[in-house]
Amino acid sequence: MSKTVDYAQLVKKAVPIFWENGYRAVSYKDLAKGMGISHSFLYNQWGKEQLLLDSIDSYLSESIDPVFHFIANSDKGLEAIREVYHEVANSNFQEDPCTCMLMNIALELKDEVKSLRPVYDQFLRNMRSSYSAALHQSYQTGAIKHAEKIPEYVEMLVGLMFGLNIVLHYKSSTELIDYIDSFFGLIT
Amino acid sequence: MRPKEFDRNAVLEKCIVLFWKEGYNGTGVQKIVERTKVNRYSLYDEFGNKDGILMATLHLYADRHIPWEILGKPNSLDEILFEFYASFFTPVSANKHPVGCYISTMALELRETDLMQDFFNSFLGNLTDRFAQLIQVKSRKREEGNVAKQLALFYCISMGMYIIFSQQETEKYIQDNLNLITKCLKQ
Repeated sequence: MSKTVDYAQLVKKAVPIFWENGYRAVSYKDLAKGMGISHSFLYNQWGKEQLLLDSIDSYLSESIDPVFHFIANSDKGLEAIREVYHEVANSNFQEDPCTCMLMNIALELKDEVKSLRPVYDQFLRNMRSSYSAALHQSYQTGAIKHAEKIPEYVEMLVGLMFGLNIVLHYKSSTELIDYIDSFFGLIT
Repeated sequence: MRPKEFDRNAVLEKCIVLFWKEGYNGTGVQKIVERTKVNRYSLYDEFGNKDGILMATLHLYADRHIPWEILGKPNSLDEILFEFYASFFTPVSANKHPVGCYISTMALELRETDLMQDFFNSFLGNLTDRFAQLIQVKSRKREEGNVAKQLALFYCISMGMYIIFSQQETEKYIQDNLNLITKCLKQ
């Protein structure tokens, strides 16, 4: 067996463990077992907080950034955002537990892990700039009439995503899509 | 009927603070015993189990701490709605509650459980009904229920926002977007 440690692969294994258990409740033992590494290596060389930050980085670059990239570069503008929101409403959480990892961790560790703040700020910047690009695209095609309102619409859509994270598990997909469409109706 | 050896609501109030700050899963029964000074047997006798305690705290919070009275004020619809939502971000310090809403925090933590399903759905239903009533009273326009539904979703949005954003950012968000939602009632 090779002695070289593939950090990226190990971090990928840690992501679902944090998602399912949260940060505080998960033990070094659970993490080491799930990642297939020794407890002492994890404890001495890595640390739980650093592993959490690495896991969030991994989650963002594997699952979230491609979505922002799709939105920013689509020629469908606002409709591309709607597509993503519908997809979230239709997602099956048994299969893909990571949909809102960032939210769960934020809820648990709000104001506690200071090193998380820049991560969220970067995440929000990426979200806003991709939405803004899409809305400008829609302005070009005439789907949105007021360019000066775009920053306001961006904020509204950002908020909608955070709200969805709460209702997602309580409402049916049909109801959620209804909600989403009525919100998009306020924009166009 | 035997007299209660402990004040049920006082115990539940302590549990609310405990579950809210440390998480439901992060709070063991031993901790509840220590904090409430009620022994394990009496807790189980009164509430059945830990889930029973949770349910009792949620009902108590919905009755006591959701500021329903704001919805009955004589102010304008926009003023009432803003005050209602914003109140979650200016908690009464005597309650020792964190910022936000206990119910939605629990709904988020326990989203995978059947336990929360019925409670949270009926809570959102109740919220929608109250908004529908309010709109009926305040707006001369006929409301088909869509705005009330959006306002209930907007409650979840606001409670999701504060988790990541500051109190000021959340308040600004509420103010800006409430106007958008209620605009269609004024046209």
